[in-house]
Amino acid sequence: MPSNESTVQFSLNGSPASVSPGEGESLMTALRERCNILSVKDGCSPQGQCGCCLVLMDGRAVTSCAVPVTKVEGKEVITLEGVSAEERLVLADSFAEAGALQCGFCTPGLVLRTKHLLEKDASPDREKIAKAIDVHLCRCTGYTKIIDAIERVAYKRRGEDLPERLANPRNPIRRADGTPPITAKRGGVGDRLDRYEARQLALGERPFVCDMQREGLLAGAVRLSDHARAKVLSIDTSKALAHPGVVAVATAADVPGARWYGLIHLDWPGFVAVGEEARCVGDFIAAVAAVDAATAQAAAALIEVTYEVREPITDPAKAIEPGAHQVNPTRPNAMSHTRIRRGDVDAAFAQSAHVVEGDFKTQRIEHLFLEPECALAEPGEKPGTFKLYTQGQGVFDDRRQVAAFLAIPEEDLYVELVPNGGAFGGKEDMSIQAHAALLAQMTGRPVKVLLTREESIRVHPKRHPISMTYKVGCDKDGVLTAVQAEFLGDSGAYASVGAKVLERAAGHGCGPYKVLNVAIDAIAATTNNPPCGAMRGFGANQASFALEGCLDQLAEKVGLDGWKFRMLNAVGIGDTFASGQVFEKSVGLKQTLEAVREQYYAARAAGLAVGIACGIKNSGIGNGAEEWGKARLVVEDDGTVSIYNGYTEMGQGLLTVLIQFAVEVTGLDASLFHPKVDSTFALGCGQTTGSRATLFAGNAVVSAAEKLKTQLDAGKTLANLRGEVFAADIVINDTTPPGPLKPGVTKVKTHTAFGFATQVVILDEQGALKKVIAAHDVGRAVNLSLCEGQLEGSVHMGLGYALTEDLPCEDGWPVTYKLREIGVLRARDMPEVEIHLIEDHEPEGPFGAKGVGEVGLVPTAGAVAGALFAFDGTRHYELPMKNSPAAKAISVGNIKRAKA
Amino acid sequence: MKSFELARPTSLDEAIDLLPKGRGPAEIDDARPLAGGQDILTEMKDYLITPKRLVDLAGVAGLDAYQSAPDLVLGSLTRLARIAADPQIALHHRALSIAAESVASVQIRNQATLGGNLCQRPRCWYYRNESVPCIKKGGAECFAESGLNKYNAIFGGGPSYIVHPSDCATALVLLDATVTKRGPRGESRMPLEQFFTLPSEGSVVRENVLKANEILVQVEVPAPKPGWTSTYLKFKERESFDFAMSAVALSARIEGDTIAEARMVLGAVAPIPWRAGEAESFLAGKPNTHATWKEAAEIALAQAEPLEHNGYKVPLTKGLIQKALRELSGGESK
Ligand SMILES: Cc1cc2nc3c(=O)[nH]c(=O)nc-3n(C[C@H](O)[C@H](O)[C@H](O)COP(=O)(O)OP(=O)(O)OC[C@H]3O[C@@H](n4cnc5c(N)ncnc54)[C@H](O)[C@@H]3O)c2cc1C
Ligand code: FES
Ligand code: FES
Repeated sequence: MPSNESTVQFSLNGSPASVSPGEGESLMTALRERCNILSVKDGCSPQGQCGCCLVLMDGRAVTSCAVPVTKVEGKEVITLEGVSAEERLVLADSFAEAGALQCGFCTPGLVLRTKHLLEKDASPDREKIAKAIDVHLCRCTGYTKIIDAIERVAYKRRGEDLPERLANPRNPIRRADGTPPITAKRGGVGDRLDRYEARQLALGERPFVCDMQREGLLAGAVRLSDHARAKVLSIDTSKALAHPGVVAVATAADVPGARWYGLIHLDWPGFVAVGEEARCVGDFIAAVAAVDAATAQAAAALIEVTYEVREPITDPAKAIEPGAHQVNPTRPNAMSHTRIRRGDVDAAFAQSAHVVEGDFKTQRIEHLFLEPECALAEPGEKPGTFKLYTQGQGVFDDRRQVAAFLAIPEEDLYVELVPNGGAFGGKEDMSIQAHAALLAQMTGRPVKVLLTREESIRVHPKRHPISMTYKVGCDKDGVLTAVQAEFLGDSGAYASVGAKVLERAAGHGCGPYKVLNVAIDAIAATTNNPPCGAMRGFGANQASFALEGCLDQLAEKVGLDGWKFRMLNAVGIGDTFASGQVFEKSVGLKQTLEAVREQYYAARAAGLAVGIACGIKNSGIGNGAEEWGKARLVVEDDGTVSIYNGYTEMGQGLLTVLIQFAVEVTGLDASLFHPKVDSTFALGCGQTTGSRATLFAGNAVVSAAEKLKTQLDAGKTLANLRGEVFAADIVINDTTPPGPLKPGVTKVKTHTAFGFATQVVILDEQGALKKVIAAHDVGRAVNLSLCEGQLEGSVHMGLGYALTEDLPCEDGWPVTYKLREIGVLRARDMPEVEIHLIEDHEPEGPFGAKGVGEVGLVPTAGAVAGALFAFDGTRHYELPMKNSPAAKAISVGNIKRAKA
Repeated sequence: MKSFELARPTSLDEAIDLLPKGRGPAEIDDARPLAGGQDILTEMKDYLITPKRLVDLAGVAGLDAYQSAPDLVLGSLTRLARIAADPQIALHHRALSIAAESVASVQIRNQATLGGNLCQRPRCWYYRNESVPCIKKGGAECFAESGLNKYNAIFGGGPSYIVHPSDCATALVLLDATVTKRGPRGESRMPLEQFFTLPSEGSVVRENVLKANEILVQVEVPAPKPGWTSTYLKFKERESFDFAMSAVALSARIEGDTIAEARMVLGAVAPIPWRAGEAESFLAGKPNTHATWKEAAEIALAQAEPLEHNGYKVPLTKGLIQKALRELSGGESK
């Protein structure tokens, strides 16, 4: 490794350490790359704004990415690796038991923080804890369970018994049919089984892709386009190649196979070639492999690119005007147009007692998963074959696209999913998988490509900004009559799944309400902005904000409160979804409304500002797509059972619930099951998206487990069954695409299942967030703790979406990359979140379950807007509602404007 | 708190010798002077600094001067309680008396020294959080600028937006105090106003001109010129002891119906005691009326650049200015 002459000596976890750092190297980099300390994670270096890299330096808790390693000379550095075994156990157990981690990327930093905090203050209250963890960002949990975990550790350290609220958290479940909650068997469905690998994750021992080590590993870096729109005239890599330590430089000219990829349209080039146009600031020009990351990055900057800079198209409305420059050569700027028509809206409006109209606008937001994109590729044992370790949301899509890129047969590419540090939809598309693989192919060595936070923000697709024109009518009693809406979404430069997002927005355009007359049009436009694609909620959130805003206004005109108005119009069995699908089962919406009723009225009576909104989100992609759930249970030589499935763990807890299904069916102990996601078996299921993994993978695991159970019932033991594979492939091909039915098909069924929710947002006397009550119909809560965690995390994301999160772009460039400015809420900003779970059995789901991953933030923004109106009479038509007392009370989300 | 060596020198030169040699500001684990310990020990408990050595000034000769008003000489070790209790100070330098009395609680004032009060570090929440790599601690940015900045600067901010927390500093700048400091190269005197530095002027990691091995020796306040009176108004968020959200130190010579001359320094609104020079010039020779007070307040705040959460400081400070002018006018305008 290149380094300057001087060495830095310090004490690391009690032993002397000495490193010869590179220029400007941070303590974090030195620890990770030179000292093999992997509990220290890189979430945002060098910003010092996520806390993932926390270490103790002479007793002070510091973000090591912001400390130059030269400053630790003579100091004592402690990382989680250096904490005593006894303490590690208490910390890891407490975090696991409290369900305080999801993807686990932020967790080691928080675990170390816990130790540090409690050494200073043995019994901090919750508010104090929230402030103490302000340096830490968690995108998954919503912090409630993290604070629970820290409290747990505090009680244990003091040798006290846990209070009841921590020892036996309240059971939030109500069965829709009024029966008492089902008692769970240990590790089975309904139990609070600890997350799979929770303890290892908490201590930073479960490697993420970025933590993986290989003999002779090279580091990759990328060179992104310097302009949002520019024709690439030349690329000169000679200086980069001549840079000491560089092993290979790849550009479009080096791609042996299909350079263009994409989930739906092949419209996204892995590299922009000379003569082509770069279409956004996340376009790849070149990639470098070198002996270490600093060298690779330095070399990437040395690549000389000349451009003919052109005016970027950044306004979606202008992009779809006739004659506008076509941004992507593969298709027109108006990429898709979804039309939904039912009944006769004009006639319905004419007969309506009240009609409201409004133009609503939502913003582009960043997923801000804590682990930036990373992939590791290496040559396989057999010449010409490769292994790819990815954190993507669909390993089989990755395999298909990367194999084509390298021009090798898919069988020659083994792809393994390494559960990632958060995704939320932002890791469906390819990012650097192909680049890592190509560099491995070119160098014959393992190569790891890791994006910096800034590159990550430039590269991956975001949540769509959508402009929505809404017109909604109701009769004199408040019964909805018609919804008419037009959506225009900015999909950025590449298709990704943008067309589907707009389709889903349209499909969810009437929310979970009975509306007989519907006319909705949704267009996805192509621009030179960063691409937009999948993000938790997938279009439903945007539509919900607009629709709920209209409903609040209608309710006022009719003279009903928000709760009554929604109850009046809420769908039940036999009612019709916007797409025309008739709900036949598991529609727990009204029960979710019932669950919040008392508190809704109590808060109003107490004079507080209250908002309410309902949400619906499909579970399963549907809309005519063929979907699969595939599972293999393999009895291993050591008597354990491996569970293979085709979907991704990304913090949502899929692997844990799959174990619970297997336990529920077989009665075997949870510790016997080990989930795996790789391409050992051809289990291609597509992306982990649309809240479908629990549903479909769950069904497959249940079915495979039943086969295993039959053998066990027949007297066989696991020892007898060694090497046996129990397989189940389940296909779901009974959904119908939106629009007119195909000849011969008589029944509209756009989606397999739906999740329902009602959320109530209560503000305090100053208009700041006070409490959120989230009631959700989840079919069946497979894992109570994970289910609550999903919803708490969703509410956290929903509140950020409502109030502070934004990623504005100017001339195609994000205006900020700073975590705090991007506006994801910190612990101190979170109000109390109370979860209610309704179990309305879903017959098509495993043990009655359906997806919960997305619906949790569908209604949030609408409910916040309602509460703000109640507070100060301001109607909000635009997200985020930064100009509101609730947003102003939040510690983040203020984007610093560059000084003139 | 990290363990440290406690050095107890008896002379100033000995003390200076025990402090770091370099010319720059103190590094995180450099030796530091210890006076009453009311600020520095908290900083150490919070791991903001981890000095290897504290140089206790208590036994150092020459820091305990005390000559009462009207020509005040206050050694840096003078306890705030003593200043607050001195009737001569209350008579001649009322602003200082009120300011000293307004600091913290009686227990703290009994322990806290004037030198420590002038050299105390900022209270900005991000600075006080050990893990936030803010610019005051050598990091790259001021987190308050776009974050929680309710208590931060509306004047003179950038690249750091702290406010100077000292009440005595505001009052003493008003009273045209002079400060004496001593370092390896001997002693020097300067107007206290020049002692404090903006983050954009001096080093962003400190608030005044002191090098790591310089010691503040004493503060001198000249006797007030004939006809001048002064006052200090401090607004606190909590009724009990607290730092100022805004403060106004005002002195004036009022002749009949006219404000002949005035001097005004604003506290807790800028990284240094903030002299309201334009308001001072405006007031000179103006009729002593409500309208004048109001306009002076407007002028004093005209250049304010509030951040997201501290806009309230503008009207608050305007109100304090008018209140202070009224007070010096004996209640009501003529
Ligand atoms: C609860 C609380 C409330 C407070 N409220 C207020 C308030 O309302 N208004 C206000 O003004 N202050 C307030 N303070 C701050 C307090 O006034 C100061 O902390 C105190 O005056 C510091 O004096 P000290 O002698 O204890 O200084 P120390 O803590 O000993 O020192 C403070 C700093 O000054 C340096 N220093 C001290 N003496 C010298 C010297 N002679 N030469 C060079 N450097 C020196 C030290 O190295 C250290 O960095 C409050 C403090 C607390 C704890
Ligand atoms: S990586 Fe250091 S704080 Fe985020
Ligand atoms: S668990 Fe905190 S970021 Fe994923």
